[in-house]
Amino acid sequence: MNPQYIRDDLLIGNFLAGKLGDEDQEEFLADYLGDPERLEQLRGYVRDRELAERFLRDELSDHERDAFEKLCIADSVLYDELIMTEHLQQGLHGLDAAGQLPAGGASRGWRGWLHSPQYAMAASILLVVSLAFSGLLLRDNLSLRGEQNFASVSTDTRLVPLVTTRGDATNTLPQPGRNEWTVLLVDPGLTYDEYRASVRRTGGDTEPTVWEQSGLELMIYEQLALGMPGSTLTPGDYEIVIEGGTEDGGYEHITAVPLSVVAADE
Amino acid sequence: VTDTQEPELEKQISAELAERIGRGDRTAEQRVCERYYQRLLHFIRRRVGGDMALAEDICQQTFLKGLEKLRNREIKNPASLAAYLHGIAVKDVMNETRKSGRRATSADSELIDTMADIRPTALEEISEEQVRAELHRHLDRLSAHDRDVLIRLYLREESRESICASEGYSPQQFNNIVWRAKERLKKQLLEPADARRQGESKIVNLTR
Repeated sequence: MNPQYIRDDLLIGNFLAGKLGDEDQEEFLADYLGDPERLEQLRGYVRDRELAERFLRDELSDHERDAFEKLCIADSVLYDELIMTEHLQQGLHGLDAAGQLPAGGASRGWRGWLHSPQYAMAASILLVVSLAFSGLLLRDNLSLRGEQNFASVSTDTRLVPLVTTRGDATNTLPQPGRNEWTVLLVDPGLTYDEYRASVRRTGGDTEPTVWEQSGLELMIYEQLALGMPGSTLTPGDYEIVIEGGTEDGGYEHITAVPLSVVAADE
Repeated sequence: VTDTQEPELEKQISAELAERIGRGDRTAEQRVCERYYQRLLHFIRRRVGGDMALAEDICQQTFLKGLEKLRNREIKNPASLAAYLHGIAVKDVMNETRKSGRRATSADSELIDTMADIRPTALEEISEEQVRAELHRHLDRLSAHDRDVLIRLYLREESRESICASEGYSPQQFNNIVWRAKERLKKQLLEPADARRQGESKIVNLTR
């Protein structure tokens, strides 16, 4: 981690713990609120330590509460996040008291699932399906080119679970082989009858959309499986845009997942 | 009052407002009220146990004192007005809890009128019933594991560590789940009710 970041984190910690005098506190706030990068770091610190949640549960010390309130008065983003947290907390309690919480337990987290026997089974199913599908594609492709010897062409399938992220974090994938079939697994987070997914290049001057598929449905464990030839994903930065089908036949944006494909030897 | 300023400019905005007030600019005083009054009131109200009338009295006093200091250029760090006002408010709340009676609000009727006219933000104005209705819709559409995270975190008040440990999430994945759920709910809550009604009637027409 960047040493400056560590120093800043210590300073933020001191601010929240009330270890700065009144004037230093004001100086601290003025500095952080005047620098977008440091302000984002400060917000990240507040979120990571769940200060809004702890504030609402009255779990903060007096110093922490003072500092947190000052931050929220000065920063409308943190203030709005506090109000949203309060709405969520009160809303859930209200629904629970009225017996209106949706029934049914959740599955294990998908991270856990990826290490589970079910994942192995799902992976096997996908492997079979995608191999068959990719085989068909290759067959079509080769027959269009008049090549008959397609039986000798082999394909491998790779499943790549992607994580929806915010900020700078991204998913990194070594460049797939040309004959590899890549299946990106994305958790859209929201339930729709059907989805559209597109893979778009970002920050380049080449054709932005390199792959698109509509009519997708969630597979087990609420993942979307986006299968594509490995040759689609050349090194570069992409975003996987997921949209949900609406009643009027259109699509609405759900999420965009960043993906970086790096050369295989990087 | 719509706060259209970029939050990263807070330092500059604060310093500029302080400077203008020092020059006798009454519009800048109103701008300070509009910018910070509602947020400060929220925390004062919480500190006085939910008594809105008392919180409003204290909040008005805080601004009157703070603005007086600004007019006289007596604030050491004008780039941090929010912290300064909060400091006055905290002292006033402590004083108030030691008193039995309500203080009389000192006279600056123009500013007091300004403060009285300040409306909560759109997000704050949403009633509990609206929140419950939208949240119910929202939860229905959420994936089961995202829903589970929200319920465990906000209803059962489980710690992030225990949820991450049992579900196999990294802290970042966990933060992202919570963040995207809040963002979507916020969007839903702020979607104007009439726009939603229009959308619903369109769907009804299509199904006829």
